[in-house]
Amino acid sequence: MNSVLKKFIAIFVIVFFTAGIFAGCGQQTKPSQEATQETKPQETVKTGEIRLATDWPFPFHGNPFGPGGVGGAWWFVYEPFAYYIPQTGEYIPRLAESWKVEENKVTVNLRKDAKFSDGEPFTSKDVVNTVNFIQAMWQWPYDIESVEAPDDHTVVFNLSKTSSSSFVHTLLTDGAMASLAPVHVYKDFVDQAKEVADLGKKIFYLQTEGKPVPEDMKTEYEKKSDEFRKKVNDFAPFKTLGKLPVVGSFEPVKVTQSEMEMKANKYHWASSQMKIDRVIFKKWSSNEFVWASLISNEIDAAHPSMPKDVVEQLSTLNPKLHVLTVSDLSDISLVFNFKKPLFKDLNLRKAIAHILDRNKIRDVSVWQANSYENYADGILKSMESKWITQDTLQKLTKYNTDTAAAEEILKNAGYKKVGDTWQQPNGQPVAFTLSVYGPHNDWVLAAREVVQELNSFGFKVEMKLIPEGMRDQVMRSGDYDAAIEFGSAWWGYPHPLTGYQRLYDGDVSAITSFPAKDKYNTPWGELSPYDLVLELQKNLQDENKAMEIIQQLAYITNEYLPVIPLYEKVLPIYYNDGYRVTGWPSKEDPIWSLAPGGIERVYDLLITTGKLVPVK
Amino acid sequence: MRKESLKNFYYDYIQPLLVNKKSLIGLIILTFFILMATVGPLIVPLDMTSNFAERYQKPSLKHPFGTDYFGVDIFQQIVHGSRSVISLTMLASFFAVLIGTVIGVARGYLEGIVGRAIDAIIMVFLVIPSFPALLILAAVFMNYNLNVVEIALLVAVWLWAPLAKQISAQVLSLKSKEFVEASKMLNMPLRYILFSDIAKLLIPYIFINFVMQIKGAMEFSVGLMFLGLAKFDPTHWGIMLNYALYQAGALYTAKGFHYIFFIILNIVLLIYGGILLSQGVEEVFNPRLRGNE
Repeated sequence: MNSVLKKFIAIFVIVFFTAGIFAGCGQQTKPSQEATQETKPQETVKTGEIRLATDWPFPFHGNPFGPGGVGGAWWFVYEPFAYYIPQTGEYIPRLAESWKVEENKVTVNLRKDAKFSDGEPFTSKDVVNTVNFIQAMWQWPYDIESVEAPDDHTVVFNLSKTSSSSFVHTLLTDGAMASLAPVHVYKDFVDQAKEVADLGKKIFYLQTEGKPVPEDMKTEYEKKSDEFRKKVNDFAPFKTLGKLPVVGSFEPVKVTQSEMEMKANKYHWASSQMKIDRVIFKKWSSNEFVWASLISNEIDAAHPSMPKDVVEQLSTLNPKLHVLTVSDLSDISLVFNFKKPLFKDLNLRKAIAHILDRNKIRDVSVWQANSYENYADGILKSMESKWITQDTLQKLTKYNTDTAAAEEILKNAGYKKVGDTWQQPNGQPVAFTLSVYGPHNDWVLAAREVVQELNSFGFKVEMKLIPEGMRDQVMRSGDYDAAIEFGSAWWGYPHPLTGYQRLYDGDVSAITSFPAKDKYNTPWGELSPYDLVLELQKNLQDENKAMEIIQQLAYITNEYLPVIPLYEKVLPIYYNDGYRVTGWPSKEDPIWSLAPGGIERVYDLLITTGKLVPVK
Repeated sequence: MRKESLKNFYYDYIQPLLVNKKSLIGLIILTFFILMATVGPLIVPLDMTSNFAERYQKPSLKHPFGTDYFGVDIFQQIVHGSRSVISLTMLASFFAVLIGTVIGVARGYLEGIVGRAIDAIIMVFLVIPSFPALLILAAVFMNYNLNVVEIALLVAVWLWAPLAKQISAQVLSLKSKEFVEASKMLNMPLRYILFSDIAKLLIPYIFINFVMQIKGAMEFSVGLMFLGLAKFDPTHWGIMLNYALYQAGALYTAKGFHYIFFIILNIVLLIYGGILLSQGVEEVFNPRLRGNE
């Protein structure tokens, strides 16, 4: 009896597993059959696929306000009013047909043929709702005092008087501003969003004007905004609606932990030009995974940091692979904590600038990056010739690698070398810790080299890694001596103003505590960089005046060294030409300069303009 | 008298190890690495100045193990890194084995509520995911300058539990043996029964575990360095391997073969030396394993 039972169980198990295997195979083939059926009517026009690598939250909720948003699918899902090409200064209309900027008013005329992927038209009401949503959820941008929709295709933004002139650029080009919260998807939250946004703005403007905010108003705002945020955060359109209606060019249709499949929005205004109907995102689990995927043609484009020898090997193994670099509009710098007495001494900072071999640091860290050989003027290396005049350059100190010059500066300032170690004028050794964020490989490599060079010179420098997720906490609490960090960065509005704002009235000044409001000696008299930034903001439209202020800021930055820039970060872009897709623009094409801050914009632009086509 | 006991100790414990081939080779390898860690840095100077143009130089007389991604001599780094590898990982393994043995023996011998309480503690440490726990530790100890012993103890905290569980199982089976019963009947103290009767028999087993823990301790110590808990040491073999694999991408270029090879070779040799010694120890002290007798 027992043996009969055993045989029966064995047969059952074999049948069960065999059925399971067949069922599994069936499930794998099913989606592709469905996809073929669904895309059949447009097969003659769009039959191509492009594969990229990115990250996304899983389980996928499809809520841009939820944790992780929609991940790397962002620029395919949401479109801004326009794309801006930094290299040419050209605005390429996307959801906007045109716009008009008057004093504190921006009028945007929307495309009449823009539709969501479920066929619903995109109207000015969606923009109004989006602005209310982002103000309610993110308490930003309060530069927009009110937004009106006089008709379905016109939006009027009334900006606050304190709004900076660079905000118009943000308004037109930020992906969050136009289509994040379609009314027909977020219909249950529309009134609540407006109420919370209005209340938040009221409090903000009272605070800005220096007026007291009534306690009951604060309490009401906290209660309503908490309730609203919780409701919105819990909303998962991809799960609730079973789809994610998008106004952008591609809609996520199937998302697993390792792959995201996106299908073309057949109602997209540029749909007729698109030759690619599917975007497959592979999970960017690590740089090495992306390297291997590029070699094997598993993906068509990506932008991983890659050592020089690996690039050479890759090009040999996969001749279809091309590489180009564009500026990431940021520089990686050595930043100092000015709360520490050691770094208040300008002589020490100048000596460090002379000790460091910035070419060597660039070589080991990001070999494709632009090197800062001589200056530390706060202007990105790739933009220096456009913004700094020859006359100004002649006034600036050159910080070329010169240990003899460093020794002289230190000796004149009372430092002395005892044995192998430099001592401060108070007899203490020049000793400090260099902190660096562990997960950023290139920063760690740069830090290793900086520590090595400073120790070889005779300082006592130790390296400390900041654990994952703790960078903000460590840097903002000032719990460091010196660190590797982003210095000047022109993200958002690619202009020196953005970089100097960051150095003297933004993120960098917040973490370094550089005395930006102090006055510094310059050839133009005693000037404060903080005041100059405010002045530049006011005079942005007056080109001559703006240039004059930029020269002054460059002088102060170079001579008083709030940070020492190590190299200008670049974005290396690798793309496979001719395997699955072709039609990539030449390496000199200004379109690539759109990549920093959202490389998917470049892919989106190339697909929606019909430049990127499938290989037949 | 003392001389006599030393002589007995030599003939009972040392000579058999020197006669056994496995333990002899293991001892030679470990002695080599201990010498490398103690004397090596005095003989081989370390120059960490990077020279990108000389990266990935093949092994030569000038650079016996070649150069790395930074153009720095790999041999010099291996020699100087052996100090932190030997001190930190061996110490961490030692602490893990010590804690695991004491708690494991106690759990195996003690019954009732005390035994169950110890068992619960072991289970807690077995199921706590070590990486998130390390992140919390990193946050807690971030501002403390921990020394090698403290770091080794922190590593050991996450390594002892599996050993304790295994040892408690061994003790449970040993404690019902006749000689333990005899000791109990003779009213021998608990300390004697635990550490003379039982623990003695576990020595080879504990020793093997000590060797196996080295790998785990090495991984943990690298993790601690990357979490900012331990002082960052670029010559630590684990850090070197991390640089080679994940930052320099040496696996993806033929030029980088020697870079990874020599680091792995030294790690493998160190662990293999330990394994040989532990196998030899087991053969010496467990006659059933002596195949040639």
